[in-house]
Amino acid sequence: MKRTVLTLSLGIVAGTLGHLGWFSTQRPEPIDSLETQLAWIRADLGLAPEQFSRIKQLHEQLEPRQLHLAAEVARLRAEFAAFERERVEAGEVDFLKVARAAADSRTLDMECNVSARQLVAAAANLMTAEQRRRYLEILAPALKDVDVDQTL
Amino acid sequence: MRWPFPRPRRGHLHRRGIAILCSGRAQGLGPGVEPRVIRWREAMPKGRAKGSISGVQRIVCSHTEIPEGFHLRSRLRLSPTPSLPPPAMSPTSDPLDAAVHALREATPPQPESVQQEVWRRIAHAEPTPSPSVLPWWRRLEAAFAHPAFATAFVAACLLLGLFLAEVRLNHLHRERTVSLERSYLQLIDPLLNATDLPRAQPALHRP
Repeated sequence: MKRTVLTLSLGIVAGTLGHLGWFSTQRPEPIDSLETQLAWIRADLGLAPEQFSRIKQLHEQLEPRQLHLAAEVARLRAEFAAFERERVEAGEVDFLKVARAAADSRTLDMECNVSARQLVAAAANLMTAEQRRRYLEILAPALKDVDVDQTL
Repeated sequence: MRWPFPRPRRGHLHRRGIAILCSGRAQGLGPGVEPRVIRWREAMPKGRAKGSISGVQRIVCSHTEIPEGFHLRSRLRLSPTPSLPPPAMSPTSDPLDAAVHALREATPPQPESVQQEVWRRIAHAEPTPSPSVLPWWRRLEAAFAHPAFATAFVAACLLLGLFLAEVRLNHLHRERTVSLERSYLQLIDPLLNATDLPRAQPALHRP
């Protein structure tokens, strides 16, 4: 009985330690930076070191503008949410403000399209045909409103 | 005097009867070994053995427990050695002696190899149960008694742990890939998830 309990315990401990050890060593890094995203792009597309360094440089150049645009999008989103709250609670809306926000939104939309088109086109130009095809497949959800072929 | 206690039945330790036990050192009775009857005394502790002849003891049990340090080698009655003279009956002799003497005389003479016969009968009376009739925990114990099986079990547990870790990692990698794709798409197009924002139609921006 003692031997049985000992063997069972040893098996459970060995299994648990093996599980936790393997999981902790193979666990992927959290997604917290552009570096991680670019490393994924590199692995997924099989980029050569030279291609990767140029694409990385390109993304690093355009990242501040993209972050600025993202912040603007967030600001406009909050503004439209405030308009909706005001409409529900007060029953009235300042149409001038809404019209101004809508105009800003359209301008921002254009900027985002142009920026995305430039970034994708510049990155795709550094890739081979197969890599470009795969890259555009990945970006398909974001490019549904952007005419990349025209830029390429 | 009349035998005051129930006589041991063949093949059973009897309550308040006689059992013939062998100590751990003895392998059995030899031709010249005479089992001796310990005189019964009322003050004798229950289940205690007293006296010894060449490692073979005959004890008087007041219950069916086997005393510590002994194990049951035979539940069969042993024949007395024919060469021994019958005990002299005296007014002061114990009634147990007379009963044992009568038992000896009533027992037919045994062949030379008493030990083999006793072992044969023990094997016949107590057959080893087959593994299929044992309960599952007994079978598990029996299996874990083999070092090879125990080692294989531990290795199997380890492999199972690694397999489950790999399954979790696979799931985690899939989720991470989806998250990476989404975050990269948001970097490319910040408006991707801004569904509540009015979005300009692509046709409007065509030159």
